[in-house]
Amino acid sequence: MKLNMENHISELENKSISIIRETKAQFKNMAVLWSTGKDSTATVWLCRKAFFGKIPFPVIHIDTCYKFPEIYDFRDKIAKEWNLNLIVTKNEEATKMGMSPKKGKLNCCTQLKTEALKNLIKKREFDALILAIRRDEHGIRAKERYFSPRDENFNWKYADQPAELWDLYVKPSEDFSHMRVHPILHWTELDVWLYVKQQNLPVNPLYFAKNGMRYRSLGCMPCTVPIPSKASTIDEIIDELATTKIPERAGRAQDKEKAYMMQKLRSLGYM
Amino acid sequence: MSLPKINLVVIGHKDHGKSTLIGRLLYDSKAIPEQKIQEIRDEIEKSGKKEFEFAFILDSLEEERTGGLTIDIMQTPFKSQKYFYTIIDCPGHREFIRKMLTGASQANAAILVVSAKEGIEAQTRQHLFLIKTLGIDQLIVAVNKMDMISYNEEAFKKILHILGEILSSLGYYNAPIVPVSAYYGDNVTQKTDMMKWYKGSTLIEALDNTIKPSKPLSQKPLRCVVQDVYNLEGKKLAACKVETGTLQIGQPVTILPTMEESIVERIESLGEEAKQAFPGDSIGIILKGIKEIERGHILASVEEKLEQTKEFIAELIVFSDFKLEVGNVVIVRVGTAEIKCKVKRILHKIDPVNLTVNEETPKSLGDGEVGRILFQTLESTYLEKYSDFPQLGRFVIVGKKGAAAAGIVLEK
Amino acid sequence: MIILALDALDFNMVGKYKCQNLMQTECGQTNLSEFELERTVVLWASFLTGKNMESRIPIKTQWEFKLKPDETFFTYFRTYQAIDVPAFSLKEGNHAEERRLLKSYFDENATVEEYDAVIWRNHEENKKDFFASLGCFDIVMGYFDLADAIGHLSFGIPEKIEKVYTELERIAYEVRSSTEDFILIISDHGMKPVGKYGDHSRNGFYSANRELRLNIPSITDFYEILRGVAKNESS
Ligand SMILES: Nc1nc2c(ncn2[C@@H]2O[C@H](COP(=O)(O)OP(=O)(O)O)[C@@H](O)[C@H]2O)c(=O)[nH]1
Ligand SMILES: [Zn+2]
Repeated sequence: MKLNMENHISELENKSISIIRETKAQFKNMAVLWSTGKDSTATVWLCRKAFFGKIPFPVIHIDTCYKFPEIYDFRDKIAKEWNLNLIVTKNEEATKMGMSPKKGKLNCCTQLKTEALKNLIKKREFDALILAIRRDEHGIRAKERYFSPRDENFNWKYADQPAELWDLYVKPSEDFSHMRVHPILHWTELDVWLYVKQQNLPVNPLYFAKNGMRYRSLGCMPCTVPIPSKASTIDEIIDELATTKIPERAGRAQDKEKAYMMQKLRSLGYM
Repeated sequence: MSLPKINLVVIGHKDHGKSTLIGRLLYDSKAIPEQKIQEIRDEIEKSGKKEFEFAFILDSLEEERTGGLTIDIMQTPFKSQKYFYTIIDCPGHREFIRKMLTGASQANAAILVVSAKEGIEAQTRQHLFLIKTLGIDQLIVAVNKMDMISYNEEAFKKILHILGEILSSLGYYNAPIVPVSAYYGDNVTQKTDMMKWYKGSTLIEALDNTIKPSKPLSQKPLRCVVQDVYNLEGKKLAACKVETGTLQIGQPVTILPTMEESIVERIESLGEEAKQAFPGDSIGIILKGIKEIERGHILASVEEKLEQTKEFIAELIVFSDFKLEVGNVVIVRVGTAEIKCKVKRILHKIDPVNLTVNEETPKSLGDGEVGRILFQTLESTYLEKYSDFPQLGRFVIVGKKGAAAAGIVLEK
Repeated sequence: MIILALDALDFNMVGKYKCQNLMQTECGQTNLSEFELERTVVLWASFLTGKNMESRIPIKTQWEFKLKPDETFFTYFRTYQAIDVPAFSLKEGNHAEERRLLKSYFDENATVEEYDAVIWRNHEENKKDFFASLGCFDIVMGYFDLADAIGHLSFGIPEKIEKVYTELERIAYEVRSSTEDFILIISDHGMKPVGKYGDHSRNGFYSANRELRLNIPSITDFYEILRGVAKNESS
């Protein structure tokens, strides 16, 4: 059992690393996004391993200014230990103009995150971005590919995306603005925790239960809701996940429905 | 104990019962919790739909998926005596070829569903042909809806006869053909009394017996592709993926297609030095005194006498807005190599529905068309026949929007 | 000939609310399997032309897309009136406003009540135009997006949807009691809930006040039927 588990994780890891290396080999100017959450921390770790300890491209953290203080401490500590070329970006204009969660959650997330990222991509001319999304995370992600081209407005034309065959991840010869690359698309939430444990990765303390509550995913503070849980160690989290049926993003179901609807209406051309 | 994993794609003409069969397989093998089934039953009752149908299991999962909730059919494996099966795609009527190919390219084996009532129809042949073009060799056929033809042996034999011809014309000589009713569960995971005349195995047994885990890749000759070359302490470190065979420190290797020989000096596994590497491993390699090594190169063992590939014949399908014409120069992506190739001749175009050659030496292949092509490589190249090394014998043609055609190498 | 084009009228919902007038003599589901996405403009354009128009209508410019009369079945009729028909005579201003409000809703700059008010206002306008045209042309096609527009933000709220179906049933009743003409009621796609919202579903709907004996037709199949109707009328 033990051995099989390790095999499983090592298969996932090898595949992810080869995808990260594919990206580096095919694109000139790439970066990885890091929220400091478990998925993106694992992904940054995979990047380190892919390049034998030193990541040869920037690590981007989008600061929405509404984050948990725990996130900043964690971020700065790890960035130093792992010797990351960290870029912190904010959408200062939006914040100045008073964009805040009070104006509505979607507004907060999209404005603060997407705009900041858009501006950064434009400024730095990134042609590939590594993101730590997983297929099991959210319905619409079931349709995601490892290499997912976006146009300059960040649109994902999921009905019209190129085929992706075998492990031949291909850069289109034209017709895209930047590539989103998803090296841990095939992992599950449980896989990530098993990996965190196996590799002894640092974990943001917010994931562990305090007063009967813990976070399963970390967004910006006003938009993230903790779930009831007693799991206060990695092992307990792994146990909890092996038995739980609550979806990871529970607690924000309504936002998800709304976000899904928005995405769908966009793809249908309503907005 | 954990079972080997097999990815399955379920193909067949619309309405022949693919979703029903998948629902049945998941249900009978208890991959879906009883509580979930109960929810679906309640839901169906509320909505005033007819009776419970197994296809609803799938539909309901699909709804959840598109509805932004969680369970994903593609992540719901079911277990048999021998394997963990995951259904990676069920190319329904609404799936288009591009999506079907994306899913099917990840499959180890396919189940073809043919309705005994409707018989063989256009998509039956088309899907079959496409998975063949993708190199899927393991096939199991379920002749479904036997209940609708009163479980009649004669009728089954008739279908068997026609199917047999199609299957052997595509090279699926020994594919088992199982008469089932997905709806009632006959011969899916349980033997039935309704077809006493049938002495063969149930569908799940047929899957278990037919599907062979691929021969351990480590026992094949070495093929290790170079993804990139980094600089490590002044040395060239080749980032590689071992596809087949094993690699050891001190092992002499040939670098393809340059044919330079060298010796493995150091293997960097993830984060530590290793003595050996196995298929699937992403590693870094330092070779002794090597002059030239770059992305697209392949390491093989020196014992084999390998030659560069000047020409090769491939069967391919075009699936994007793109036309492949005789004389065109295209970029063929195999492994990590991107090779300039010229379309020397299009040997023939095949009608994927009737499975007949519908044009000898045509001038071009367009969207949705399948054909056999003779390519001439315009730079030094090494690639494999699909039947020898699938990993290095399958390719895509790079187009404006990404992969524009895909195929496998038949001869070189 | 009268066509009631009801965007997103859902086969199951017509049954659920027992809308007898929407059901007419023969009613059933349409088959959208040949379409990748259930896009309103694409489906109506395909209905009008009898051809699958999916690849011809880019998403970005779909709302401006316009067919010429001779590409559609209208060409077979001596006189026609098409009210607010997508891909043909869409009231661009009204729909642009609806979409603007939809976006504002998601940006949290407008409430769902403000959005609904505009939808109902435009609906009333179409109703007026439609009933004014009945009897004056060989074929009248009236398009109503009520079920779609309200549904997208409120399909999971039964009271609102019941109101929409009651209204559409009422329109069907008025039309049916005013004429002996051939009446075709058709939707582009159906709808399914996503929480309180609504997403397009594949349960498209059609009904007719005479027997057509169709078996899950494609939306493109009606072109020939309408051509046949035109032929009979002119001969
Ligand atoms: N009588 C009978 N009906 C079946 C059987 N399998 C599927 N069906 C019916 O055939 C129809 C189409 O099945 P579905 O699974 O949706 O087909 P798909 O389009 O291939 O996925 C449904 O109404 C099923 O209930 C079977 O074994 N017996
Ligand atoms: Zn709509």
